Amino acid sequence: MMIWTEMNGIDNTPGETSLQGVRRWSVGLGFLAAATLVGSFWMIFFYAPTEREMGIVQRIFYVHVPSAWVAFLAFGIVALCSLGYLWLRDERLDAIALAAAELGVIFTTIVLITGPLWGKIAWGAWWVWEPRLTLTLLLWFIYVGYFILRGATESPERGKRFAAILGIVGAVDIPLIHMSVQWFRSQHPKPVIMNPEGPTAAPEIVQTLLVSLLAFTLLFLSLLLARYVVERLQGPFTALPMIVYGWARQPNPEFRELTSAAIVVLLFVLLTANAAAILLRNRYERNR
Amino acid sequence: MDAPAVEARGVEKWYGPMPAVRGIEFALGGGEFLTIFGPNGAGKSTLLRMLCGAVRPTRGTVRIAGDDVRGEEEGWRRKIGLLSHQTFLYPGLSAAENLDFYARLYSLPDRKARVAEALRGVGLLDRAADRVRTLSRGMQQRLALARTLLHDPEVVFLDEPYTGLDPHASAMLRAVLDRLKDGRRTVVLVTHNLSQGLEQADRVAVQVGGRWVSDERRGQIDPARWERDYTERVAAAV
Amino acid sequence: MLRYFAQAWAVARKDLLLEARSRERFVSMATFAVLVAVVFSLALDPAVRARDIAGAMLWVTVLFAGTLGLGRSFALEREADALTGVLVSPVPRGAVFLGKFLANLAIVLAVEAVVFPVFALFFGLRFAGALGGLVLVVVLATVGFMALGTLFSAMTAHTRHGETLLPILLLPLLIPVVIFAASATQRLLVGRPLVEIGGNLRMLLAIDLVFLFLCTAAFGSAMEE
Repeated sequence: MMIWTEMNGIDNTPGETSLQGVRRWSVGLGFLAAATLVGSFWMIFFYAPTEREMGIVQRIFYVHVPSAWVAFLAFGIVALCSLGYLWLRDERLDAIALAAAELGVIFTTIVLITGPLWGKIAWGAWWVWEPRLTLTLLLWFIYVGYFILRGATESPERGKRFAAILGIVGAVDIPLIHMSVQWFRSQHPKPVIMNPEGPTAAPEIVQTLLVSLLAFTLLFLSLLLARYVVERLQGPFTALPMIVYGWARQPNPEFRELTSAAIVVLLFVLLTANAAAILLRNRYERNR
Repeated sequence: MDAPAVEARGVEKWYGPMPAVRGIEFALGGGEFLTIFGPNGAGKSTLLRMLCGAVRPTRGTVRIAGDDVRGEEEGWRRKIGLLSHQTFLYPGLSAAENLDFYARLYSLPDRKARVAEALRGVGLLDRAADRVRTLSRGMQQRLALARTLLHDPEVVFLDEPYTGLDPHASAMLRAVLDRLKDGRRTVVLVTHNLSQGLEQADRVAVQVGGRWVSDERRGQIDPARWERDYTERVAAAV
Repeated sequence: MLRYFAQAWAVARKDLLLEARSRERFVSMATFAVLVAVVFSLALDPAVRARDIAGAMLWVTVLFAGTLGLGRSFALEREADALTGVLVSPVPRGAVFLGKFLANLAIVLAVEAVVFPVFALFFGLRFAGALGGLVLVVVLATVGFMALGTLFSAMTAHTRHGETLLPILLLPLLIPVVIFAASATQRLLVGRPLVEIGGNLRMLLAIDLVFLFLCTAAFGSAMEE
């Protein structure tokens, strides 16, 4: 309880009640995200038709595109909250920025894993300096730098300020990087890339993609709020995998509830991902 | 009525959940000499740096001659000087070049004459062309003093200025501080060393754990009992 | 306004004076860059025409050498905590940034004035005909590089092992500068006319303006305690 009173001392948080509200939102959104994810996974494997030219691998786009969207959303949030933090010095804004940056790195990693998986089949190479993929890779480095800078700075208060500056500079740099890599591509033509959502896309494909986008956004928001609650409680920052562990150590009974909810959601995501992999393999092998 | 030379209202500094300075309230009139005593880690330096505008307070306001330290108007910066146990000098530049640099920062007229005069004031005129690296610790601190007073500040902040000085340099610093007490200049001295800063003070405060546990006029203090009083106050606060 | 620039100049002059005395940054950067040129020439397959990749080699070298020297920029301010003295004085934060930036710019431009001829010598490059364009590219690219570099070296000076951290933070952010500078340099080296790199120069100028504005604004937040 010490932590509570001290934290309420430094800023003007209404305190426990508002944080509990955030926690409830997080759990609620988590269940909603889980439900939508089930729906989207069903749609990915049973509803959407196999794309004619690319075959089964095209289905990876239902994970790839929403992850990319969520990653950009996350980095937008990082920039806005960082700007707000430098302006107002409200610890809550820094906590949101940190939570968003962590999730941004995780979803960027997913983009960087799913991209080459698809690219190997579609382009015949694991890695191609395609502008969007290049931009994502550089984003990943910039925001990994966000955590290194934050952690390596001698005083935590200064680390928050430095991280905020990097968050803003990084976000302003993104359009410049985008322009430069686009321009770089135009100088070095590579095999034409097939557009997965091109004019040939069937309505089922578009619908499935939209549901996936919704599911990932809900999942992101739920995790963002959960991570925010933990950050506000613990103060010193921890890595995302530590969240559930951190909750389990909290003495309050609400945290046991939150922990079980989180474990259920995570297990669920894990199981669905596994099931998806099995289904994908089966269907892929049958098609050959 | 003139605004106080230095005014602190509800000044606090928090590092995350840790308080460094809490609830500091005081107003210092022109020409007063305030000494703040306190053990190591009491947040004295942090307070001093907030008074100079180098550290941003988490809460509260600091005013120098009526100007808010956080405000847009930065004219108050010309009125203050800070001397710390760190010299703020560049070891690779000569004594005169260091002072010339600060004279440029303060946009002072007649730089050359002013620098020479400041060097004479601390007895370093013959070492003007020597790199600061080659000067002794005592000489460096005297040069730092010249740097602090170069622009003739109305308010002087001193942060443990005696650290690392030999008796000769200490005596010289004390003589300069005595000269500073000319009824016009306001001085805030921060130290953990009880043998220094009591004789010149008009007002004496004791800071422990970020708070002031006492704040009294020099006249209320019995120098003979001061050490015992101070130790009791610190022990009671901890 | 005039005072603002006078104060910025005071900061830059002080840095340049220190550098003129010790020459530590110039010498270490230039030596490193020349060594990289030697390593490149020995590591390259003789069948590869160095002229075809000189633009990339030059900018990779400049980037690494420049980052190497940037670390010292604020380390020297921390030796006797001199930066606190500067920040307590009536100098706007923007003027401090501008001063540090100008000094860094001058030192790195001096290094580039050595690196380019050395590369020309080692790899048989001919840029006498395109000297004007090349100077323009180098100055524009270095301005953007040093704007970001000055801000980040101010921050990494307050971190543990800042000298390794600086390139990790800087390189991804500097990709736009590298892309436009390297391709412009490459074109000039193979004898293309200046008009062909007009787009590069415009982009580099835009990047400079964005970085300078952003870093000057951010420097104040980076410097307070």
